[in-house]
Amino acid sequence: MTAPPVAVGDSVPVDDRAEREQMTRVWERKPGLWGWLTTTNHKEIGKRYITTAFIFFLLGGIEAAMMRAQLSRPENSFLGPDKYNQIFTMHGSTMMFLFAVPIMESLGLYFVPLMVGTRNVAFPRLNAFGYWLFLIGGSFLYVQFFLNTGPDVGWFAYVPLSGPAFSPGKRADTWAQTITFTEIVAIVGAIELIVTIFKQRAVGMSLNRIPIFVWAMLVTAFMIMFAMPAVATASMYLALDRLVGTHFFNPSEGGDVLLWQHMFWFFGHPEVYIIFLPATGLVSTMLPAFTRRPVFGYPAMVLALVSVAFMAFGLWVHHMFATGIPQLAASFFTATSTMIAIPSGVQIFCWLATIWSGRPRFATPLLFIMGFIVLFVIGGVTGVMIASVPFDLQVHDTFFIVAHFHYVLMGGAVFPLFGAFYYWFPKVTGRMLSERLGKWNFWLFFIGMNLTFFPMHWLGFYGMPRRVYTYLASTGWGPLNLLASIGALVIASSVIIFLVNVLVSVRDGAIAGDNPWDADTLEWATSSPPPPYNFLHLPVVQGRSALWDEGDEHQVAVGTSTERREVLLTTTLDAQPDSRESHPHDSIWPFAMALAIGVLFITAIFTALALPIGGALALVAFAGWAWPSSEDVKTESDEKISLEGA
Amino acid sequence: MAKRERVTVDVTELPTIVFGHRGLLWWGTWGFAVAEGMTLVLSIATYFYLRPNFQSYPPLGYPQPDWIAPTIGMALFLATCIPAHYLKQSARRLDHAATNRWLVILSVSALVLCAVRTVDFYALRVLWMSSAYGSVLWVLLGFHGSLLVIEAAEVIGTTALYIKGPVLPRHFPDACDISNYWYFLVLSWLPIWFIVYLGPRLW
Repeated sequence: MTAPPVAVGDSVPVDDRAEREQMTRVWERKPGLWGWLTTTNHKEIGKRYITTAFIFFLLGGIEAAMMRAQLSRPENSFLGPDKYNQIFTMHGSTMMFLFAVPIMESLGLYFVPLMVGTRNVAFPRLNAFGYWLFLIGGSFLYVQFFLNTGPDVGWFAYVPLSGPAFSPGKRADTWAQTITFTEIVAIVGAIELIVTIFKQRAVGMSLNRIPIFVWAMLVTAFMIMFAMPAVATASMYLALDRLVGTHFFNPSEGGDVLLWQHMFWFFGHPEVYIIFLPATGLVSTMLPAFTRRPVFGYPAMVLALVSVAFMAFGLWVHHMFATGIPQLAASFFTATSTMIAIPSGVQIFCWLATIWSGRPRFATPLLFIMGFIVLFVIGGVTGVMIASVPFDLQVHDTFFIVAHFHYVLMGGAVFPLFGAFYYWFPKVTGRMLSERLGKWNFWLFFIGMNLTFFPMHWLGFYGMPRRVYTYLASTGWGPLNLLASIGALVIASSVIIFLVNVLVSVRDGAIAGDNPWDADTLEWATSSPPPPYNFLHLPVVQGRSALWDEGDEHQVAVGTSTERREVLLTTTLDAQPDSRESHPHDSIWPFAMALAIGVLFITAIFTALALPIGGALALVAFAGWAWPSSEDVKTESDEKISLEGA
Repeated sequence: MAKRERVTVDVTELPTIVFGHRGLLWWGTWGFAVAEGMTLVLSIATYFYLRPNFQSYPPLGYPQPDWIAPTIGMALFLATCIPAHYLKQSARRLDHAATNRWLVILSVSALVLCAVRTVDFYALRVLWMSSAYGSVLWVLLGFHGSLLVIEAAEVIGTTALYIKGPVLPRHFPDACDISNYWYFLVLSWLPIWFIVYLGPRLW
């Protein structure tokens, strides 16, 4: 079945057209709508994920703009209290669950296979299933919102406000089920990433050589596996309290409202790092291309990532200082909350050292990285401030907190993300984004961000609470609110410039070539955009900076099948070649499974019949998914079996 | 200008079917087991978090859960590790007939255990809507029960595949991973059974 084109030691013709055509036949998707629905290619799924998550970012941004319009002057009547409650809930839920986590994971699902030198993610059908479920879950939230059944209980949905006594109707149920959708999506994505990183790395890419973005995604994926079950469990308790009369959060029957806060923040604080760590990985992976040197302190960076992940699970109670917890617990969580600044500081000093000792080229991605460092340090410093209980109690639930977490999340995650768009857009589309528009994009974003959120620190000090739809003129909060609203307009204009840049450049941008930044990671070793099989010959890695360490010759591995989809598996630690595994064909069943689960979750809000109906549909989809097709039989009947390690 | 490529590794002779941690499915199976296990751990944490809200346990007016039937069920559950073990052994030997046989036995076991789980619910002697005490007990059993039902569907589906075919070489490592997941189900039931049925009698 498999015949290597050449032997070890031979040079390979780089432009082997016949082999490329054969590989394209094996790996490309079917044409038309059917092919679109059935594809399991990580790049197609990744692009859809990124696009869908970005659309949710735009929707969340529009909601933010509406809030800023409402608060721009005292006693404004642009939004009433009910609509304002829905809008801020939609904004937070959208940005956290439908934008930030999914877009970081989807960047991983697109780029990790390319960066580790493999042809697709592990479990590609699961990847397709995850995307469709994400689309259904996100669409469900917005359909409900447009039907005036959007949630209005905040992105954290605290009980008893979100419980059956204070939130009758279906609004809080909509929130709870959206969470269930997104948590399943996040967990399946995490498992795909972990297995891809552990088992499908290029030969020679031992764990101490993987790009830091890949490390960041690995650490993040483990965090997802331990954090997401907490909110999934909590949202299920909430749904059960609301729908079938359990009493988890009902104090009169032995329940406890603080149980919700513990479970939510046991997820919610790691969530911040689930969003932030991939962003640090993006920064560490982009920096070498713009400083012309490998990132400073690779081992320290990796250890910082891992230690942040562990610490992130030990400080959730700092969100609950105002609930009257014991003093010893308050001291402990103050200490852990402050301590996490240490590994974060290590990363910042490593980036500064990289820039300081390199030859920086201030292209748009590096501008966004510089902006990120400034903004994240501001957000980090205010984070250390609110780790202190006396200070936290003064500013709890005020606009100071809004300012703090927007510096952390927008500065710490959205800025690196925009830098990443500029950096990897050429790889995904084959064309460069405009640098001129990019600089406008950056400066307006940076100025707008500070105009919007810096005044909120003062608003917090002046006592303006979060989640109020209006205020009296006598409070004196008007001018600073107006300034913040003007800042929001500036951010909006920056995002519009970015959209124009994308729309123009995707058709008319300069041709990128394979490696326009002369970067060092493996995704730049293939064409832009990459072919369906990613690499004609799988790369063999010589060092940490794969493309810079290999010299004039690109070393490759041959011998994987050109007749069927196949991936090379390598050993977990040292990435030595171990086996060649048959790779699943495209299939409609992941789409069908997502529809079945969608029916189950959505109808569960309205009727108990959801369980048998949705369950039966899911069973049918599962059978179709797992049962071998004639194509499987054709390509998998002649296998070489190894019982070693069985 | 693309760099010249040189072949330094030839993987033609590598196997295409491997078992255990060398394959992808093993990692995926344990990945899901870890995430689901975390859900069970959090449910157990909920049990202990809510328990101090009651002056006595079970709360006044509620009888102790019946422990005899669930303990017999627990013994049955433990006993199913035997077919799971032999299933794994047969699959490792690539013995189609024996794998088929042990899959049938495990399928029947899974169905019996699903029936036993309904007895476990009755043995609680409290309804989910009675109080938070009932709610957390039902959720502990329900979470694990839903994993059991889903795994039963997978075992029965795999058995049907082995009976009807086509069985491909990769289905042997798949059968091994079914055993692995089954062990997870049994092991994760042990603490729940202990906490729910014996706990109130012991502390």
